[in-house]
Amino acid sequence: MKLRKLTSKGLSEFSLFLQNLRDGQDLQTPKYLLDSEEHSELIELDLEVSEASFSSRYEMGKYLAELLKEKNVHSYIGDTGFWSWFALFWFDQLCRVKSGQKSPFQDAHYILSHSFGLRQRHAVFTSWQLVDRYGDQCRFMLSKLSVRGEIAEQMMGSQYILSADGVVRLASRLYTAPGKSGFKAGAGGSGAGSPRRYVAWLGQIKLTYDYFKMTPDDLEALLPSEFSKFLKES
Amino acid sequence: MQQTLNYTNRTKIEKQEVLFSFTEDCGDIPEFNVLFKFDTEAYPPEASLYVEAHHKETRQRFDYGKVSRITPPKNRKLDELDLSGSIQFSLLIVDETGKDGLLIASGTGFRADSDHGEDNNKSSLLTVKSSPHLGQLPWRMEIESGEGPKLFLSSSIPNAIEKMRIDPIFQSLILPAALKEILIFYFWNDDKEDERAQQWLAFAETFADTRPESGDITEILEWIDMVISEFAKRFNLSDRLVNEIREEDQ
Repeated sequence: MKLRKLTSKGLSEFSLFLQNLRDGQDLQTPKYLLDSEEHSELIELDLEVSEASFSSRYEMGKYLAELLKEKNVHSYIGDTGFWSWFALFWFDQLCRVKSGQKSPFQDAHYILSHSFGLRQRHAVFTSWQLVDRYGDQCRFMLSKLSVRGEIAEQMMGSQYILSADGVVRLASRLYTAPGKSGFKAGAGGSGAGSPRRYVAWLGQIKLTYDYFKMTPDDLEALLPSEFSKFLKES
Repeated sequence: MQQTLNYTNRTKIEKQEVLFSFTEDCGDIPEFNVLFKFDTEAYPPEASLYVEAHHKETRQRFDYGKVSRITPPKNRKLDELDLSGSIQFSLLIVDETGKDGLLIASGTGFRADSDHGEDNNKSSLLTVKSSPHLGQLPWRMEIESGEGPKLFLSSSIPNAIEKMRIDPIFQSLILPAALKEILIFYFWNDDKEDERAQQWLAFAETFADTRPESGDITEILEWIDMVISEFAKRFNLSDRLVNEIREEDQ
């Protein structure tokens, strides 16, 4: 299908659809919004988007990073209509299913939010952003498709973390299960050495170190001993 | 009160010590300029100087050389940032003589001078604006580190900003939730150098005990709930809402 972006009317309809699903209604995804003149509009990027099935958000991000590679996407980075169009296009695989019924999370997971702490929840935008920047190093955060999971929740909570290369690469070293598509056992918890503790530790050292420029090795040398169990499994 | 440990004697660079601006007529992608007014002799001459521009999670860093030999990079275009909102700048002075870069001084929340007109109510704790992009949302809070919170009201609501100022129904139904969102943001963001955060937390302390020192989330949320409850009590929000509804019904 030809790539477009949702208009404010299209976004409102999409939001209403999500609310109706949350209210328990059993509805078909309103795919007509994707190419209706009233609900979406053409954009400068002339691209065809595939109805591919993905096994994880990482796979989706990889597809998008390839699709948008060397295209001028700068002006679309914070564009709600642009990223929400993708989320609607792939909604049937992005939506959580409970007891056989679609059961979406809050709108920000599918409609790009401008609010602090919510924008990173967008299933498509964040997947593209992470894969475009970090390649397979971000696989541990994007191993699921219809849910984000604890690791992504923690790692994406801080805006600074996602832009610090060494921080993401060390997290990948800590939590990616070698030879598997997911993360190490225990990485989804909240105990010693967990991503939640990693983010808290980063908040402490941020006051002292310029970690934006630090390599994963530099950061690893500073890690408290509680993280050693994850390092040993590398 | 919360305490900040400062092992490296890191100093704060104040807003009046750095002046940011945008180059005029530089095309679609903005290019910034910066004038440093801080005392360069107060820092080690070989310390590195960096400028960071950021909006939400997008960030671009620019290397300005050493404190004793400031060298602006030729390319200062913000071509890696999300330009859908207001750009903020940070300044870092880093001691890189050791293995890891130690922060000697930093300043955050700087904005380019041409951006200032957007926020015409800087002395107010809360900026209220009208927005045509809220869809079915009646209001939305937008908060960025270093900036004051902005309460956006849907422009489809007639006289929304005026209603927010005088209408007890609007105030009673929106303000407690908005205040909660603001306080959670500032606790979550935990930027001790953010003046706005300190102003809001000090404001909150006028309604309850001093804020919790621990980072315990349950304790923080309980404290925030106490602030909201006392805030509502002081301004009789529920009574005013009920009275207004009764008057409208008559």
